[in-house]
Amino acid sequence: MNESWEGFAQRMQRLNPLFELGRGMEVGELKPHIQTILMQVLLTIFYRELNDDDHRRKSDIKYIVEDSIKQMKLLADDKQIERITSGLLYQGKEEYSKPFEALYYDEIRQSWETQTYRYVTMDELYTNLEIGGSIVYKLTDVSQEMIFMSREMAEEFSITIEQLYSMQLIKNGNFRKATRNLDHLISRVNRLMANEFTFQKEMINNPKILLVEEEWQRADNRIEIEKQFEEEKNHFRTITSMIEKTKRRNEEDDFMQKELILLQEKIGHTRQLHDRFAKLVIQNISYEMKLKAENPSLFWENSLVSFREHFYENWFMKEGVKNFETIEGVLSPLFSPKNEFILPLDWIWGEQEFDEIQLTELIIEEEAEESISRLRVTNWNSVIKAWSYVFQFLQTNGEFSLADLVELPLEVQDLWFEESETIELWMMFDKKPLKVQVLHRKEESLTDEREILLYKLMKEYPQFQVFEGLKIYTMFDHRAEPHLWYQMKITPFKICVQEEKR
Amino acid sequence: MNAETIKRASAIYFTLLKDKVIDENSEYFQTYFEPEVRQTVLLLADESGTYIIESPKRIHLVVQPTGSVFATNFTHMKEKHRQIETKKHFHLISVVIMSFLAAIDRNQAAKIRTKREGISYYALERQVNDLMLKWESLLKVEPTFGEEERIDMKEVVTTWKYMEVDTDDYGSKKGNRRTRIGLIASAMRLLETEGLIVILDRDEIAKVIPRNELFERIEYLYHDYDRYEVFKKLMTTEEDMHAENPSN
Repeated sequence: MNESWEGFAQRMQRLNPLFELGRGMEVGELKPHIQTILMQVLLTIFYRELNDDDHRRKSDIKYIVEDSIKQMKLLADDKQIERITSGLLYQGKEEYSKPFEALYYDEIRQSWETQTYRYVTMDELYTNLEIGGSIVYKLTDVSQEMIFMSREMAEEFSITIEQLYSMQLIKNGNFRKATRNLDHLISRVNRLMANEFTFQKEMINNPKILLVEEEWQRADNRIEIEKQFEEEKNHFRTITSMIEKTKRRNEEDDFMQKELILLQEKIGHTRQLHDRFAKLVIQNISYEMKLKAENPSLFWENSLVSFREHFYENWFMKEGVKNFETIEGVLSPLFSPKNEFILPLDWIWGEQEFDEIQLTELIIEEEAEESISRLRVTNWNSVIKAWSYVFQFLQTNGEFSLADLVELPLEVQDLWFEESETIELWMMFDKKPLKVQVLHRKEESLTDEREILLYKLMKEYPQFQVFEGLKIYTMFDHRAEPHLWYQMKITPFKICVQEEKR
Repeated sequence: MNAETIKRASAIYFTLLKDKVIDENSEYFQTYFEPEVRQTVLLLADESGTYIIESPKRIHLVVQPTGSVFATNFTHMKEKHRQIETKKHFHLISVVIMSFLAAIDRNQAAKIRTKREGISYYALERQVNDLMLKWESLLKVEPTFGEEERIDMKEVVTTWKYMEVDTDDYGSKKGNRRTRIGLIASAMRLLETEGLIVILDRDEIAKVIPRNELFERIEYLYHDYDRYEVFKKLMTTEEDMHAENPSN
């Protein structure tokens, strides 16, 4: 084997994403332009990422594609734009979101291997996992490398080299280019920092990954890493002093001064980022060592059983299911107990309980379940009737305790169970004091359910209009015991009215 | 066991009952790991037919496969599907959940990828379909056992087979249970309500991202050999019982 084979597999793995970019996309007459378009799209995403711009969702990427095509004086219809967008995100059918695949020849194993990769991936920093919403994309290392490759520098992209490159540029007086190169450096540091951060989270949640991710086996060469950071710090120092010197030498050149100041600021920012990164890495290394030293048991891959193999593949798949209670039995412990009584603090949760009961009847018409929100129709007449008693008391006594409900005539008590809303409104009043200002507003403009209630009450029973302008609040009733009222446990707080002090 | 321990243990137990999960930021997290308190909480849990799952960052409370006095989101779902027509949908939902668990229960490296990329409803549909094809071939080889005991399985396979993948009707955002995707959506919503997954890109091609909570539950429940044996035994006896008593 001669040297032409050396590192051949690696070389191909870096080039493949470039070769395969936009391949196999059916875009008609745009075909000869597709790679140019996609490269422009990738660059746009890259710069948005650098500038902390989160407009990198799928819908945004579609706009970028559209814009790029327009800019290049080409024409495309919606279908083509859609095709190009999804073609950048996945291979083949969008539904499966498959990564891209390419073949390369491994010179050591002497065999053809498949490499899988993506051009864009989820940006955890911007995608809100708690709320849901849409995925914000960022470039993968693969596609970022394509961007770096497209510069003259196809070597390595370590921090050191970026720094050296910047120095070279400053030396040659190419300040603007040096400033731009710092963007690459910033992105590099940002990326490493994000990796390090993700890794830290992963490591804490699941120490076993320390065994999987071989590239992270760094605890052993900690000293070397620290040395490298020290060296990089020195580079920054050199860059700063270079700028200082150049500044002094060209004091009369305003234009150059401006460029230099810009460069200096950028260096300052980059340096800060770099320091933060160094700290994070060192911190992670010490975490890693601590975990390994103190909890070695966390690293034993002790589970010989897995759901996939033992439950799914070898049991249910192979043997079939005689009785579906088997599956229910296996799945049921995935779920937490749900308690069935209403705790006063948990009224939001209580609302779901009520819904559930209503749904039992609705389910007969199949379609009932909706993905976003279920529309609940409230019979306000019933609600108002039930509440009119409370407000009557409020009007005369200035307060009404929840515990007194039990004292109401039975047919009134029945009213309280007709609509779940009626009970829930109690909890609404418990939120914060409400200043009543509804009389002269339109019903559509009311969003607070308490306001809707008052509005409807005043319409139905004009005597309640005296509540306008008053403040309604709740107090915990210390005298009364919590008590049970049909299957509900009630904390006895009371509603009070207060005249607004002016 | 003194009164103070019992008091603290029951405070933890009832908080778990209310919140399902206690994470490391909770005041109860530290208290739980005091040996006596922990023992008592475990005792309470066992007596009420629940398991306590301990992970480095959280403690979970879940029901045991049998003998729990508690309802769950899962049993609620079952209740809602009591009629003969809808019962098979519940079975299908269980199958979807199972396939989903199998899809994410892989080696560490794959797991990290799943957490980042998620699994789309359509990918999950393929996974379920593979299982259905396997079951179909099982039924073909031995058509006789469809008669008595495997009636459920046959019905489930047939229902799935004749279900559309998705409606073309993009206008309505309804989770339509008559399509496979609608069914998957129902199953995933159940897990979402339980706080075990995150659903992203709902308006486009929805993707499911498993949360650490889910991996922790899988690890505890299904990666333990003893517990696997318990499951096996429990289920075989149950199946035998049903086999002997076809009227059930």
